[in-house]
Amino acid sequence: MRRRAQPWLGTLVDISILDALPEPSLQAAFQAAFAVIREIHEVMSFHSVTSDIACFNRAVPGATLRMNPHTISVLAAAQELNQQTNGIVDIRIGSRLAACHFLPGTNAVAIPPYETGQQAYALLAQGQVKKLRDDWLDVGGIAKGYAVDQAIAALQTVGVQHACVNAGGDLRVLGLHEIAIRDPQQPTHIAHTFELQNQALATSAMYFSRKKVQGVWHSALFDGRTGTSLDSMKSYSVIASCCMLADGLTKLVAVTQDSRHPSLDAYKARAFIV
Amino acid sequence: MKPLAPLSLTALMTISSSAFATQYLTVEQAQQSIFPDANHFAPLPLQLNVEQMKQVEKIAGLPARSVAWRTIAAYKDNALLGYMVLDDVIGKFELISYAVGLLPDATVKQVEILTYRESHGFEIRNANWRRQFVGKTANAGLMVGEGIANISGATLSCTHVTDGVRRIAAIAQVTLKK
Repeated sequence: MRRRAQPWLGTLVDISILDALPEPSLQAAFQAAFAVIREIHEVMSFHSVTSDIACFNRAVPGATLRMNPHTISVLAAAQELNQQTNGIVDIRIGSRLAACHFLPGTNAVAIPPYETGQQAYALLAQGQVKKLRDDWLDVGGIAKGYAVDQAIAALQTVGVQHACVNAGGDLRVLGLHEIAIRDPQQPTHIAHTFELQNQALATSAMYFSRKKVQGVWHSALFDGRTGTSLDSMKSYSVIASCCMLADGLTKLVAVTQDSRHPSLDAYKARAFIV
Repeated sequence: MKPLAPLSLTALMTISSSAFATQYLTVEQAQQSIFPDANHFAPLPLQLNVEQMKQVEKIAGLPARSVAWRTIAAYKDNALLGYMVLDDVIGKFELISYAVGLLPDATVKQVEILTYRESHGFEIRNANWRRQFVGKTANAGLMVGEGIANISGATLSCTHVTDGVRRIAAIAQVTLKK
C-alpha cells in the first residue's frame, strides 16, 4: 500500500492506493487525484478571494456570475439536498458560520442576516449563476464529499481498482476496506470498525469544532431551518453510494437525531449514531 | 431497511491511541515526489537573523518561531529546481511533520505530509513525548504506507499546517528567492 496526504479543503486529504502498480503509474495516479482536489479547493474555498464562492459572496444581488463546472455541480446538488431535507441542509449558512467565528468575516462588509426558507441563487444555462439575494454561501458541508468523489473518479480513470480517499473523515473506497470511527466522547480513540466496499462514508460530529461564543456553546453544524448551531456529544455517520451525498446527509441525521429518516431512503443511504 | 449497527459495527473498547499514526513519505521520497526531475539534492541549512525574522513576521502575519530551518535544495545537473523546507506542527491532538516544496522564486509548489501522529492532549503537550518523533520520519516501528486504518470522524482542522506553510513561504521569500 502507498499512502500520501496533502492539506486541502481545510483538512488533511489522505489517499491510499493498494494496487501493485509500477512506480510511474502510481505517481501519476496520486498526481491526478490531488490535482482535481486542488482545483475544487481553489474554486470553492470560502477564504480565497478569487474562488467562485468568494466572488458570489461579494457580488450584488441580481448579478450573474460564470462558474467552474465543479462549482455548478455542487450548487445543483446543494439545491436538491435543500429540497430533500426540507431546508435542513442549506449552504447559505456561510453568514451564520461567520457570525459565530467559524469562518472569517470582513471589516469592510457587514455579515448579511440569515433568513430561513430562501433561495440565494438560480442556476442558468452555460455555467452561469444568478445571485438572487444577499447571502453568503459556504459549501464546506458537501464540497469535501464532492472532492472525494472526483478524486476517486480520477483514480479510476488511470486504472486504480483498490484505493481510499479520505478528506478529514469523509471518505470513499474502491474495493474492500476496514474503516474506523472515532469515539465522540474520546476522539483520539476508535469506537468501532467495520468494512466498506465501493461505498462512501461521512461522519459529522462536534468534538473538534465546538466552542463558546458569547457564553453559549456553538459547533460548526447548523440547522438550515433555523440558522442555529447544534451542540451534541454524539457522532453521525452516513453510508451512501457517493461521498457528497453521505457528507450532506450527515447534517440531516445530526439535526433530526433520526438514523432512519425517510429522506435517507430516497438516496439508498444508511445512517448510524454513535 | 435493516438496522446497520448490529450487523457490522465491532466495538473496540481497549484499542491504544498509538494506533493513530501514519507515515506517508520519508524525506527522500518527499523530495523525489516534489521534484521528480531532480537528480541531485543537497542540504542547505537556513539560519535567519533578527532582521529576517522581523520580515518573515511582517509578510506571514505570524511569529517566525525558529531561527534554524531544515532545508534541502533540488537540482537537475547544475540547474536549481527549487527547495524543500521541513517542519513539524503541534495541534490540540496531533503532531504533523510535513515538507513544503518551493520554486526558486519562492512560490509554493507542493506540500506533502510526512508523518501524522495523534494522541491525547496530555501527550501532545508533553515535550518528551514530542521529542521522540520531531525531526524523525521513520521510527516507532512504522513503515512507509503502514499505520492506521482510515478513520471517519469530524474534520480535524489543518490550520496549523496552513499557517506553517505560510510561514515557510515567507521565509523562502526573505532568504531563498532568486
